[in-house]
Amino acid sequence: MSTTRREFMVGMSAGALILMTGSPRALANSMTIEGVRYGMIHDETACIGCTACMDACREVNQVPAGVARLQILRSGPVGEYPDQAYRFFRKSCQHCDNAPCVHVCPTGASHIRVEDGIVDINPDLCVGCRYCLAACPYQVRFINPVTRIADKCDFCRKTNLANGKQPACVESCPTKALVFGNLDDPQSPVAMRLVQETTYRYKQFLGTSPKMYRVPKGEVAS
Amino acid sequence: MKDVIKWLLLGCLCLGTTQFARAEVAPATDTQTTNTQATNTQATPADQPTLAERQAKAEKKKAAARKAAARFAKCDKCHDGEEGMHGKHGSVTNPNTNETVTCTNCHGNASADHRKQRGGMVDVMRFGDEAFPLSQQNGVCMSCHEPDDLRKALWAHDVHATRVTCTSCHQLHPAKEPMVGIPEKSRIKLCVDCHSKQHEARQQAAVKEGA
Repeated sequence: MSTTRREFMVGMSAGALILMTGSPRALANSMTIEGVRYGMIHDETACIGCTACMDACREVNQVPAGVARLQILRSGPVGEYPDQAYRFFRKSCQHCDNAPCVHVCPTGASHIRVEDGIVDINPDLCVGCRYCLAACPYQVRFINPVTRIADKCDFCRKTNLANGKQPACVESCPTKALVFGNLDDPQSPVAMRLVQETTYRYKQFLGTSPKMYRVPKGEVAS
Repeated sequence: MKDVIKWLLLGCLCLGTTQFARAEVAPATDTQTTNTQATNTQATPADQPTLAERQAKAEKKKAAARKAAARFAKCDKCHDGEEGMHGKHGSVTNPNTNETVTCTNCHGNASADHRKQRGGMVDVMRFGDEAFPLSQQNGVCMSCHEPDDLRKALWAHDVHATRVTCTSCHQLHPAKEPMVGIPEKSRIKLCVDCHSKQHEARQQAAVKEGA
C-alpha cells in the first residue's frame, strides 16, 4: 500500500477536523469529579437587580468594603420610557472546570476541590502574587485588603455551606433567580432546571467550562 | 501621622481663632470653604440686580405665597393637623404655573360636594385609593417630575412608573419624605419585601393553574 504525501496530508486533515469539531454538546454533568460538583444558575429573566445578594454575601463572608466577591452589573435602559427594561449580569467566580487561575498559580494555592468542584484558594499557600487576578478571564478575583491574599466567591463553602445552608446570595434572593446545587445529581433542582431551560455560559469559547449557567433575558450577547 | 497632627494643633493654637480650632478635624476642607467664601463676597457686588428689580421680584414672590396660603387655608379649614401638608411640596414651585404648589395642583379642583362623595362620585384625587386608576394617579406626579430626573435619583423608577403608584413608596404630606436619603440597606429591603411577596403569589397561582 503506497501513499503519496498529498493523500497522507488530506487524510490527516480530515481526521483532525472530525476530531476537533466533534460533538458540540457539552454535558452539564461531566462525572469527572467523584462525588459532588457544585454549580449555579442565574436566571436573568427573574433577577430584578435589587442587589440583596451582594449585601448578603458581604455580610456572611465578611468581605471588606471596597472589594466584592459578587456584583450585579446593570445595563440599560433598553426601549422607550415608560416601556423600559434593564439587564442584570452576575459577576462572580464561575468555578471553571478548566480554570486558568488554577493553571497559573505558582504555589498551588489556587485549586479545584476534588470533593465538590469548587475553585478555592489555600490561604497557607497563597503568596499574593496576583497572577490569578490577571489570568481570570472573568475578572472576579481580588486581593483581600485584610488577609492580603487572593479572594473570590467560594459558594460560601466556609460559611453557609458548612452550616448546611444554601449560599448567602441564593438564600437572600427575593425572586429565586439563583439556583444552586449538585450538577452531577440528575435529581437536584439545578440539574432539573438545566435540562428544561435554555442557558448560556459567559465566555464559553475560551474553553474554561464554567459551572455558572445563565438564563438569558432577550438576546444572548456572548 | 502623629507628627502631622501635632504640628497642625500647634498652628491652630498660634492663630487662636475659634474657626481654625475646627481644623483639627478637617483642616483641608475648612480652609477651602473660607477661601471660596471670600472670593464670593468680592465678586457679587458687580452682577447684583438693581434695587427696583429685587423689590419687584420679592413682591411677586410674596403675592404668590399669599395666594398659595389662601388656597391652603381653604382646605386647612377641614384638613388640618396630621392631614395637612408638612412636606417639601408645601413650599416648592410648580414648573407648570410658576407658582407655589397648592392642594388643588395635585388633588384637583374640588367641588363643594366633595365632602359627600366618600366611596361614591369622585372628583378629588385620593392617592393610594383604588378608585383612581394608576395612570391617573402617577400622571399627576409626572406632570412635574421628568423621567430623566427620576432615573438619576434611582434607575428603578423606569420599571415601576406604569406598574405601581408613586405613593406606594413615597409620602408627600409628612415633614420627612421617607424615600429621601434612605439608607441603601433599607432601599434593598423595600425591593425584597415587595418582590418576595409578588414571587410567592405567582408561585401559588402557578400551582393552582397546574392543579
